[in-house]
Amino acid sequence: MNTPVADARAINELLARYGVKFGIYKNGSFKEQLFPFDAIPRVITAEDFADMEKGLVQRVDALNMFLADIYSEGKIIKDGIIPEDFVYISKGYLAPCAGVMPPKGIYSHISGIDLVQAKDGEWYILEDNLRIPSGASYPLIARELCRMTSPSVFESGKIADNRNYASLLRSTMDNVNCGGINVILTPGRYNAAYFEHSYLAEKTGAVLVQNTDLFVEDNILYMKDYLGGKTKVGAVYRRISDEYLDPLTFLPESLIGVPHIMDAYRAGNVAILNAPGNGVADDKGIYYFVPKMIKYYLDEEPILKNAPTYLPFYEEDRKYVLDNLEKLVIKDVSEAGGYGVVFGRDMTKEQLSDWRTLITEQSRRFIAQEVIDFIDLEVMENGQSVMRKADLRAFVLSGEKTRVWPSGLTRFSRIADSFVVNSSQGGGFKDTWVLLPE
Amino acid sequence: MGAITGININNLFWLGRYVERVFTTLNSFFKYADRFIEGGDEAYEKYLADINVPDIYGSADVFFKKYVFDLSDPNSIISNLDRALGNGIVLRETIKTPSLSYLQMAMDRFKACEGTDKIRFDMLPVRDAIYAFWGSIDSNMTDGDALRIIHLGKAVERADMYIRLGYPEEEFSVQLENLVKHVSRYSDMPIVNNDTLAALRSALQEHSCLGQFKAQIIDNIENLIEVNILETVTV
Repeated sequence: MNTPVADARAINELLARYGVKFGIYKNGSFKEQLFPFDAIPRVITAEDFADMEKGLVQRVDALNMFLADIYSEGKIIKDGIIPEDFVYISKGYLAPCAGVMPPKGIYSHISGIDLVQAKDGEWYILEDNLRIPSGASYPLIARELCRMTSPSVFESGKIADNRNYASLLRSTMDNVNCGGINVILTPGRYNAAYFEHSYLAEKTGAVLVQNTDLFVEDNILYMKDYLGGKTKVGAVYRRISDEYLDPLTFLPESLIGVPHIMDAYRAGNVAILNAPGNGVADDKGIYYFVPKMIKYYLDEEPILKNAPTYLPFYEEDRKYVLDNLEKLVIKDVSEAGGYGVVFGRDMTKEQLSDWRTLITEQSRRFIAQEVIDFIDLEVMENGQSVMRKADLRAFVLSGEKTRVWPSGLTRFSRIADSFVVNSSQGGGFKDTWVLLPE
Repeated sequence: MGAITGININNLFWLGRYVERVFTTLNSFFKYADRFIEGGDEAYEKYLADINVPDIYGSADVFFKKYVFDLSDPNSIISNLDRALGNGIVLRETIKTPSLSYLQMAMDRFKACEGTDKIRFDMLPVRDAIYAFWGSIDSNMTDGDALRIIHLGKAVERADMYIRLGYPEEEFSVQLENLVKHVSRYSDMPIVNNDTLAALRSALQEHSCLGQFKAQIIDNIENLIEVNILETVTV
């Protein structure tokens, strides 16, 4: 079933023509790059997807409950399930969000959950992205182009149509809209994900705006038009980070935020997707506790597994990490995008010794994980089939119900044996086919 | 009209202007390129003088390469196409992805022509892509006001370039007349400077030799639409 669609060159040419790019800053200058597409899809069976779907809905629901809890009563801390060291001193915990309940109590409306499949077929969660996960637009437009170039591949009708992402996103925004228009707030043309911002605005019918198009008056957010008129904004799908969102609440030096937007949000006059403050729940340190959250809030066993993870914060775990460093992967909890990740097996004796000291001294800063031997996927490279590491970012949208988009972003490494699949580090992507039940 | 932001209106207007600038400049350049077949350096110097571009090139060969293909030369045709594309990129959700793709296609084809010895033939797909762009925005854009602003940009640029490029009076007066008719239809839009419109209208009615008033006409054309934001912020 993993029939390649037309040759990758044709699709990549179309992607270039449609301006499907991402930006990176290198040596101080901005460059736009194409995101290389591989013609061989990742195929997920209907049975596999059904399990994954249940697990993802369970996980995201629990994470939303966690966020609602820690920004209000903090019961999970009082009950001793999660130490407060992992919450209130997390960089992602935002004190100004305490006591603020977002519309309909939803914090993470669009969640990007990264998974890998081990060689035994088991799916493992690698990380949760609950702030502004990006990437859905790439498989969305790629499918459109694949159906154009290779219609026969889709004739069987066995592949779930993933082109409903925009309508799912639209209904997610509408669900929490507080009265007014939907807008997508972008930092601008030179943001790495600008293509995605503009494409999703086009597809959802939301207005793409920058901060200078918005203003707050009497705790109501408005978009101003060129005539000097104003239109009430009911939901903001913001694609800028928490700390830049409102210079009067967060970083005062932010030039891309909207002054007083947090006042409008606190007053319940506008929904912000995803809610500010979500970073506390997708911190690599808190990841360890997600299975415990699922049991605590839902009284259910986690359906999807975490990669085996150790917290050097705990003495027992620290001892294990120090004793087994050479076979573990160490992650800095404050880093993202594939940065701050080191493999013990690649270190010299001196480096291992230095890392042992660092982990001992800054135990809260790191987590350690067993290296999952995840499956390689077939990738075409210069006309030859080669095997490469790949992950899957699944998109979970929390609206009236929590739903998993029947697709996802499969990213692969273009370097043999490398586990780093991030586009910013040269990775490519594949279409992700979810098969429909027989 | 409410959904058009201040930044957008600037981009819409300049998108129309830059796409038209590329198209009109290419057509004009092709005429000179035809003359270059038998001509020498003189022809390119006259061309530059006509369009009021300083001669930084020194020879016909360098002019051919740089004026057409050099992105670092702000006067080059490709620089104008780059500005058109830059404005298009920030308007994807308004002009729609297929329209943007024609601009990208024009750019890709344009770049692929560098070094050709049959430029007028090889550049035909660039012009085709521009024609397709105009067809695409008319077919795909759902915001009528935004579409009108792009077309206003196009009409302004067409008249402006016809005068600057030294087209004969009977040709540029037709474009000027078209511009005045076009803008008159939208005179209730707040971006239209009705005083300037009236001045252009009376120039057409009262003067049989418009060529004598070129500078004043260009000035009026430039002030006909007021988007209030510097063009340079968009590119």
